[in-house]
Amino acid sequence: MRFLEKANFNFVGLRKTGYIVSSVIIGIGLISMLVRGFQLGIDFKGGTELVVKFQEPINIGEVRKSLSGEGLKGQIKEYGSAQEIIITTDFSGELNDLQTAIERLLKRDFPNNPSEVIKVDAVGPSIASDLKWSAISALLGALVMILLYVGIRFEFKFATAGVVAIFHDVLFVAGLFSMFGGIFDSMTLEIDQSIIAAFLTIVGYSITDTVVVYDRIRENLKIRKSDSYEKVFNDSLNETLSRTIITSGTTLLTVIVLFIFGGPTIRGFAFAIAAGILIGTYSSIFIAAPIVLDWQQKTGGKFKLRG
Amino acid sequence: MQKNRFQLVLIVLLTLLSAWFLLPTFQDASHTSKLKSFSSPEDSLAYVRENRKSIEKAQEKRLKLGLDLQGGMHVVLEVDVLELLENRARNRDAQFDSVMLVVRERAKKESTEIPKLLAEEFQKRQIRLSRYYYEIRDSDEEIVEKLSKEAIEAVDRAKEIIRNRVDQYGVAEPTIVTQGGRRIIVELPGVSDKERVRKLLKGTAKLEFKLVRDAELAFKVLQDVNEYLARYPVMPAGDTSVVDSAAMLARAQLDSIRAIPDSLKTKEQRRLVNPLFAVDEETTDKIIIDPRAGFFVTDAGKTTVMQLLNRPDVKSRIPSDLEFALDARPVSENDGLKFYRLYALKKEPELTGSVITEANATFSADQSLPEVHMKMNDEGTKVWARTTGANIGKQIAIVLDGAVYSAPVVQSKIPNGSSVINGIGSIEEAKDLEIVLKAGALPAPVRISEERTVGASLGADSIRAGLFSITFGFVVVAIFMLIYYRTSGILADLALVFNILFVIAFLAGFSATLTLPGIAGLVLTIGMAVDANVLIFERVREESSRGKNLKLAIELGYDKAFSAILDSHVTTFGAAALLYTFGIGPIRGFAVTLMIGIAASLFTAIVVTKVVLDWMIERNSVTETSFG
Repeated sequence: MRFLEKANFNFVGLRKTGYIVSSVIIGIGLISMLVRGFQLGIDFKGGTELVVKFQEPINIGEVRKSLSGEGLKGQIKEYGSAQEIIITTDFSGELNDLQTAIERLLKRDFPNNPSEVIKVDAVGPSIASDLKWSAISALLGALVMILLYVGIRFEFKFATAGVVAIFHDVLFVAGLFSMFGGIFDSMTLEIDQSIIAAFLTIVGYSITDTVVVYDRIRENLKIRKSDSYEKVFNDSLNETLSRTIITSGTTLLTVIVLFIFGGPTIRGFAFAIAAGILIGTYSSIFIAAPIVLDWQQKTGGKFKLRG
Repeated sequence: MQKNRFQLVLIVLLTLLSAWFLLPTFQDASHTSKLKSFSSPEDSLAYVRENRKSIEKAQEKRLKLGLDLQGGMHVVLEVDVLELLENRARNRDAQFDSVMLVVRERAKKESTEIPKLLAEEFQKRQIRLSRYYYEIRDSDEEIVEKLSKEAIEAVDRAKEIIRNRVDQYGVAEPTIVTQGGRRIIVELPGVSDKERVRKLLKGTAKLEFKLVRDAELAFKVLQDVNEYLARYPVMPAGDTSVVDSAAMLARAQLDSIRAIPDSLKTKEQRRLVNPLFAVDEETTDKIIIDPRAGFFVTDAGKTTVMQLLNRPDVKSRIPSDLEFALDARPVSENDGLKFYRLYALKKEPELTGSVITEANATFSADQSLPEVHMKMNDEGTKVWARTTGANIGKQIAIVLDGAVYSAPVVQSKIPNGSSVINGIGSIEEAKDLEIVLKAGALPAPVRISEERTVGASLGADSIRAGLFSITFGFVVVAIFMLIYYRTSGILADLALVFNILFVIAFLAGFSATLTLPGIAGLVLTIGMAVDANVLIFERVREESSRGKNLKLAIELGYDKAFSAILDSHVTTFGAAALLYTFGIGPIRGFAVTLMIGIAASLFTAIVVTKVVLDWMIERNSVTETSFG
């Protein structure tokens, strides 16, 4: 089976459109990050989350009425299925009191539908601030490391454009999380540790497709000295199109499996990686390679190639 | 086959190593299923006795599941080092207390070591630490060093005591480690009674025997506090002699209300002048006075009343040798309200738990209620005999972690150093008390600053979801490769099987734990592992379509795809390594699986497929259609 074997799209001609589309979306994302910020999970905000499982499906409104009637502050949402609810509230350290109160109320108001607290996450403020700092250091560390590695492996302009593409991908997905955070009940898009893990995976994976494209451009630049840079770049993008899409595709397939079957804790994580893979594929074609080309054309002269 | 001898040996060795790593996991599974098949407990016991060594060894070396998969509790305890240091200080004064308040606020948000925070705040105010700690000629640095040492020792001691408690409680394979200067991480697989465990971990187990002050004195003190609180509903800031006009007006109003005889006051007025006492039936969040039985507080009012009594300005009005404490358990229940007795105790304990040598949970002879019997050492026995002898007819409260368990009236002198705690809810609670009393008191209070608990049923659900995702992810990718690349797709699938095998085996071999994010990492690895093969096969197709003969095309494909494969693997591996360094708990599991998966795929996707391809070429079974 073959797929896109003799592709001949004018990617390079479309690059301006790509720049504009990306700038607009990332711009909106950045504005949202500034205005709306993120829905922080309890990992970074501190707080207590309890997941309660009922034997039978339950009406979430009734649970809210039952619990808030006795002054329990916090959010109550469905969690994964109609039998499970998640209660998010402040961290007080007195988990026993909280848990007893919840269990007592639910037993009183839903005597025919037994329930059980199946998951408790409580994060105090000092732990939350620690986790926040490690997340930030990990993300910054990853960006610096990749900048160094790509800088060693590729010519300066390639490396810089590659890193721009990584920023593009991460900002894009972060923008999605900011814009849609807290809107969907089934997927809250809260930033927690697993989302930071997803971002780091995106940082690592974003360069994969870019490297495939770069590799071919370098190779073609060496062989086809007489062709214009524009043609060499566009042909390289077309030649590698099928493998770019297939490598992303296989990973995307498994991530979709995770999204559907992995359960509620994994869903946000899978969504972030899926979005990251899609946008990473797009950015290696419309951002990473074209930036190198434009930069080269601005400064003139010939590429000095390594490797 | 000749030229690939080294690669072949490597593949065989790695496979054998993987089998060796995974063997205990299989043994453990077979033991477990055998044990399940026995119908009588005698049979299982006999089996365990017979195979103890093998069972234990398998358990130790098997693939370990994270708490999120097998269920259990992950608790981070924070030792209140500050309280320890507070109690260590001599010549405590108002200035010291105010600095301590600032330090406490900062300690909540920062994870800097407490002695350093303390030094910083004192230096800011140009106060030498030696005013409160150690020798007057010690420098601040020396004192910080000494205090840090004390703090670390206290945390270590706390860790040992908690380990003791956990061991006695009976948890299989607990992990207890200290982190930083003040945290203790406790991991307890498989525990289900969250509430009981929290109590067991958190309880300072500070046992004190304190004299109960007589009710008349207590009433006088409370009355004074009541009047004071009516004047100052909120803590006055700074100098109380300067009062703004609004407060003056309020106070004048208050005085005029007070002048009205009680019987003529309206309900609101009565409430206004009695912020501490419940003056009518409807008020449930204040101190209820029963002229015959004493003072009571309901569960609704527990926190507010204690907060009021502990307000710094209120505390300074209470005689310094007196303190208030509540019952550990409600004395009665009425209309869903629980009533706790409020005791006035002599602050200085007559005796503390450090003299206890033995503790034993049992039932009382007459009523068969749970209680804990204790024995004291020689010195404690002497003091106890003296105290009980001197206070016949008076009450002595048995206070554990600030809550009164019982306050029996002393009937006679107790010469043999025995004492009893009763007023315990259940025999489990009595057992837990026995555990904490035996293990000793914590050097400083501990708080739970992080808890992550997963129920066993949720864990089982996650395992099921995880296994399904792995299987489904594998099947989808394998079928795609098969359809798209035909024969060579089979090779990629074979490499994928090896990859999954290596990841799981090395997880077990390095005694890493498999977590739910780890499973996600494995599923992700399945998708990424075939990437290398896709790059190679696409290149082979390209070379062969340019008219190169198949053998050469294969060589070129492997050769030229390599640099892109290496780059993408290195970057993803690096990101995973950073995640491992900075992440905690289950997220680390994701990082580990991803790292092993990426490293393994470099080997399986390149070496394994190449060896098989070379073998096929030798047998001339590679054709134009082999690459789809």
